[in-house]
Amino acid sequence: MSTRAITRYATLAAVSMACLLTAAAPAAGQAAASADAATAAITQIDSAGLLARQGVRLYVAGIKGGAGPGSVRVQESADGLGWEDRPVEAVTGAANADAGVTFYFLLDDSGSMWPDDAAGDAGADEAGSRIGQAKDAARRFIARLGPADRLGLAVFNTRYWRAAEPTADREAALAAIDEIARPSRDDAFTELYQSIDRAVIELAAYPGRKAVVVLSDGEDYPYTAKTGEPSPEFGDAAVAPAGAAERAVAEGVTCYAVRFGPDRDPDIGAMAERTGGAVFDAADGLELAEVYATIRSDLLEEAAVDYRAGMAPGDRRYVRVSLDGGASWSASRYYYAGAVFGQARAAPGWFDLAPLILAAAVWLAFWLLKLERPIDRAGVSLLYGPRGAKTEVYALSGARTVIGGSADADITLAGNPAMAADHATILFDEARGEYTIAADAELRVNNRPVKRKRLEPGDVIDMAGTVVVFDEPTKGK
Amino acid sequence: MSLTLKRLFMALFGLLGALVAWPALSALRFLQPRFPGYLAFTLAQGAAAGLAFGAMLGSIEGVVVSSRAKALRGLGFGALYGALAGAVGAAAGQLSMFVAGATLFRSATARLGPALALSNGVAWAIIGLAIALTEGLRARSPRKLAAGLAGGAVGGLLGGAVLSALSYARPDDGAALLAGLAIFGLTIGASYAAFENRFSFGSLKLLNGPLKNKEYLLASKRMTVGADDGCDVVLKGYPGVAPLHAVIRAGKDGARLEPGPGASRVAVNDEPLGDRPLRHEDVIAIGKAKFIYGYFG
Repeated sequence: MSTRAITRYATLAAVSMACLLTAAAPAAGQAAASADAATAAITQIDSAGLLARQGVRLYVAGIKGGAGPGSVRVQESADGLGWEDRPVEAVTGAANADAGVTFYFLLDDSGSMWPDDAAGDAGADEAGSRIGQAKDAARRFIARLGPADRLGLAVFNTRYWRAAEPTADREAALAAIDEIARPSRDDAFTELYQSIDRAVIELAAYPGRKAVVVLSDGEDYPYTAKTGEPSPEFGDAAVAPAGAAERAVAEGVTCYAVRFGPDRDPDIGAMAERTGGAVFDAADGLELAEVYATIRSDLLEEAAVDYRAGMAPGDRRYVRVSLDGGASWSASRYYYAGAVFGQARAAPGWFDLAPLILAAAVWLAFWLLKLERPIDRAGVSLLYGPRGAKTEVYALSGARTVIGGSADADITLAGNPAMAADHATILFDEARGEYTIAADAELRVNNRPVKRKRLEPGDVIDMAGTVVVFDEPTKGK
Repeated sequence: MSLTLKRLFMALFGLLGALVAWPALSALRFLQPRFPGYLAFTLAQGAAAGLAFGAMLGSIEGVVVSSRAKALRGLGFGALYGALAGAVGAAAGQLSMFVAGATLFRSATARLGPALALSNGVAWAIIGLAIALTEGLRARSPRKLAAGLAGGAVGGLLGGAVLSALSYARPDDGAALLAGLAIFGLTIGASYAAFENRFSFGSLKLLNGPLKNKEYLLASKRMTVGADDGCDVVLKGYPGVAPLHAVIRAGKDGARLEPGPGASRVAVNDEPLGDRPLRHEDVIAIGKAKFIYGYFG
């Protein structure tokens, strides 16, 4: 293989991938089995069909269209420890073609990317420099983007600067490329993994298929590790290649790395493969453009795996895939599987029936219980008066009951100055079993002024504002 | 029964619904792995919850007016409609949770706890709306419907959020579900109690006989009074009351009393029924039963 040829380590079609890896990628320093495992990564989980069809769709980096359902194994777990096989229903090619891909270009903007400015005519020969070639390749990439694709751009050296957030607006992306300027001499560090990590964080919030394409012409050269002081951009925190890979996997972001020029970071290849991506070498602008085209077609050809989800309880349902029948597994990811009434793993006991029995008993008691008891003797009760309603029943006594405000009355209803001392009299005709009310003072029965009236159960008696209700037991049947 | 007692009853019956629903839901939750999929699982859970709350809320009216037949019919129809509505509501709620969860889980760095609790609350609010909808339709009362919907939404939001929050703190503790359901039921019941008299345009208080002192809120446009169990105001044990004795209609100028077929006696203030809206403190005679019309709270 020519040194000028674009060397692709991991994303060629599934045939004899392991052979390619071991034969062509000694620089990646990976054993065949683990490198193979790294090629499968779940980049997205679409659980929209979970309720209606119990179907989940996985977007898996590393599977190409044309692979049959038998070539993929999917396992689920409620806790990430115990795994259960799930039936794979379909593997569909070109899964990202319609929804598009969000690319995030991460460009090394260190001094070495720029032409030597010792002559003082900076910018004159930018076109031939690495930065010029990288800009050109990026412009060509933008020209080939599909209608649904989006592109964002960030550059890094000691600092990290987002030139354009992911957008479908081609002009904005092109303008951002033009804006990339030579760094100051102070920005002499190369924060490779810090920048990848930040790009992944920025990309995490975007929906759909996401990929970071990082181009660098050198090794990671972090400020903090080299100077022992906090970085002006990233502070004290250090990011190792493994840490960056882990976050990318967790966020479903695939990293593609392009090593541009002779100086190569030793860890970037393994890091990219861990995320389901790949590493490429390019020597000039032409090769770079070809690398970008390859990355894009790889992503668009990628397949989706539809499988039937299980019913293990829990908010988080972990899932992982294997392309080699289970010899190696992708990193696990999870999707939301919470049930509307929550989850329970403990078996219910008989005592759990206690609330049901209690509720049934209470309901039955209320159902059987008549809360009202018919009165057993004639009387009047206060409906409302100056002091509000009372439930007290005043029984009628004998043939003649005087109701009034004075203490001498048979029934004393105090508190109403307008009421006479002996306001009204209720007479009982024992022979007929009839009650009659009579009064000289102001008296209304059922809202009609009367002097004398035979009373019926429920009659409302208004004595100058004090209102009572007359009632007597129902006669006979 | 006084209105205060009736309000306590309504809240209590919401709580009873929670006590009935909890064991059923606990058992179903344990059986989750045996279900073929989320759809069947969710429909079964929703039906169980809806049945419990529908039955209890549906029987309140019959129990508070001491009509056993009315209570039983309310229990049955409440259970049936509640189960249907609960199943539909749970499916819709589960869908909303899946959508919210998928959005929240898009990024592994998102803060999840409160957001998941909120999404659980929203899902329960949907269930609450569905269950309350049937109770309002069953009672044929737009006012009761409105009260139920408010209670269902608020109670669902609170109950679901409490379930999720407690489950987050103590996973696999069944008490979290009981607490959530109790808040759900209590809030719906309390909402009926709190809003029913606000949405009602008046009340009838019985002045005599076996049901003396019962208060009936006029909450629907058409309220029937009679000896038949199907009436809104059932008068059992009162001589001279026809099966459908009278109807009270709510109009723009107030409530009007109309005699029903075969009504022997309908009087207002001891006078034959005139063509005028009812006034507060009017004394209404329906056969031997006497009511005072008004609003006593």
